[in-house]
Amino acid sequence: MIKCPFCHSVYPENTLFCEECGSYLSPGNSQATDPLAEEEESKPDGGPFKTLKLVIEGGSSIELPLSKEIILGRLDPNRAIFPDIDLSREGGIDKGVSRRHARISQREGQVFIEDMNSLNGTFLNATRLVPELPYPLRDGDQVQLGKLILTVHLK
Amino acid sequence: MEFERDYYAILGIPSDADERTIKRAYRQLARRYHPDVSNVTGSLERFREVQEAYEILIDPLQREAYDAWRRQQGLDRPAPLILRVTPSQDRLLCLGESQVLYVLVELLASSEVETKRMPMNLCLVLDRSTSMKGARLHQVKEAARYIVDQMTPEDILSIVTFSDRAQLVLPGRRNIDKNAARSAINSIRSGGGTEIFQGLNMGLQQVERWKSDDYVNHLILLTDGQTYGDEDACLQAARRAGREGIPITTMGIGSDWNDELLDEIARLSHAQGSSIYIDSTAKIARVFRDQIQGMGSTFARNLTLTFHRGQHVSLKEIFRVAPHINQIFPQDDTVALGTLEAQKPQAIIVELLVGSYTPGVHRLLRVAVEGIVPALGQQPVRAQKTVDVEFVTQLKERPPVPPDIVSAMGKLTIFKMQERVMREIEVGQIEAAVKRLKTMATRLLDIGEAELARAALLEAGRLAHTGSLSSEGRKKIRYGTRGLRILPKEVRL
Repeated sequence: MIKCPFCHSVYPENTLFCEECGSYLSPGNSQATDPLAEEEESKPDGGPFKTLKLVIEGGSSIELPLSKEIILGRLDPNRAIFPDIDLSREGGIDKGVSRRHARISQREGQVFIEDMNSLNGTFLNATRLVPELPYPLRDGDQVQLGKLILTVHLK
Repeated sequence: MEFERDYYAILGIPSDADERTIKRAYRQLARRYHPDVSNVTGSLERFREVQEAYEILIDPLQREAYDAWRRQQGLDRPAPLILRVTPSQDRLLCLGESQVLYVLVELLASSEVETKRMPMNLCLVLDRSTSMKGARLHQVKEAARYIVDQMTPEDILSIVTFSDRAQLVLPGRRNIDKNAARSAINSIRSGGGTEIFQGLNMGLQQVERWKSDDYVNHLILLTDGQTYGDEDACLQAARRAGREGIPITTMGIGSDWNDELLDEIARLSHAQGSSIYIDSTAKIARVFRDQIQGMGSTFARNLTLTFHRGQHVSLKEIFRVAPHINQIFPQDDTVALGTLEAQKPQAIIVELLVGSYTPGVHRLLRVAVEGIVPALGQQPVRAQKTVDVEFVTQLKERPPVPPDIVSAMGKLTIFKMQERVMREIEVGQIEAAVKRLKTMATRLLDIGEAELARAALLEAGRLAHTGSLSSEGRKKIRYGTRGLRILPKEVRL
């Protein structure tokens, strides 16, 4: 059985969406080896978090408070697009980062990442995300925007 | 000898391919789908198919037997019905409990078979009550004149109007006199109440009179108002149409009509029946045009889909997700799908509940479709696909679910929430309905349906204050969520 992280309704294994609240029951929410044991320990893993630190391949890093939604993309003053994290200096254009690429937000102690219909896609630990759906994000996860690789640290 | 598949299609080679071509195609495909290199859902099954196809075709004796079977099955002609079946996963963990498997079934018309336009036997049943006065009736008349222009000499068209009584404006016949038909339409005047049954009954009689298997038989009912006291008679008439296989398309203009009644009439009439919400007068002509064009491009009809379930598999729910969302209720594991239009693929999501299986590959489902493709005669055409899943005791990572399935289920979930909201309102659970409607608005925003999300939020506020939805908002939400379809990708041959 799996449990919806938001409204706690229970569904058979592999169900994709919660019928009660419409939430996406991401595969990351449960690993189904031992269903009984898992139900017991459904603690949120560590949240709520205060800050998000992204380490960009090559070494530089950015830190931002998680108090509001964070949009990752490329700054384009001509089109009045001002993402919270501008990746144009990190080779964003060459690596296929969209102007509005992905968003990271926190809801009920869980941090989520969502692809904003970017051209070249967002990958979480090498799995391509379905656009417009929130996926849980954990400390140490690797996020790839187009070809740009970032490592996530949650504090 | 029993074969199940089109081995040439699997290897992507012509049926007169020589040995070298067969070997080359096999090597290429085997490299692409080998389980050691590919972990995309479906590749294991593809690999087995490729292997099987190669083994049969490379052996001259087996190939000869197979070719004979192909000719007998008519497989040497291009397959007119394309059936695609995609499971959400092709590897499942052996669990001590039931688990869900989604199967996306897509049905498309092959572009290699020409669509033969079938003649129509069509009746328009039009509301001419007082409320239709002005722009509405004007637009409806315009649309009716357009349909007259589209008719070929073979087509049969009849027009019925109704208010308190029904009137036969244009009796059904072949080779209609277009000028006479246009002036008959021009003479339609508004006035009186709305009694749908009168019109529906007379319209059905017209279609029944000319009904034939060589024709696309259809009735279009258009109204803008509530009918009073004859709802049961209307449903009886719809059942009659259902027995005779005459689909009814119902269209509601504005916000005062009874959406539940029109839905039910369409549903009872036929798998092809549908109800359409026309939110602005300006759209009337376009809706009519789309309907007529769709009918004219009928590719296959009397389609049925049959599910042959594996031993521990049960069907949880079946929803059509394209061309629009509606729930389908199987009878003895068979569902009627009505008609397939050449340009409008159908997609169906089947939710399976899978019990415990032992490790190894198991066939969970076989999907068979059957229908008549008029361009190829009256012999039924068939296609089938299977869902084979490997059960394993350990799964390092859940293989990614195909995005089409995730996206379809996301929209379907919103549609189901909407249905729950309507039921909750009906039984007076207003608080729960308000909450659900708000959550639904968030989900709609998540998938970029801003306008529908706004309508849902607005109605949630109204519901909280007044205990009911506005007539217009209710229709916007019901018909809007129904239209959250997914469109199958281009035909891939």
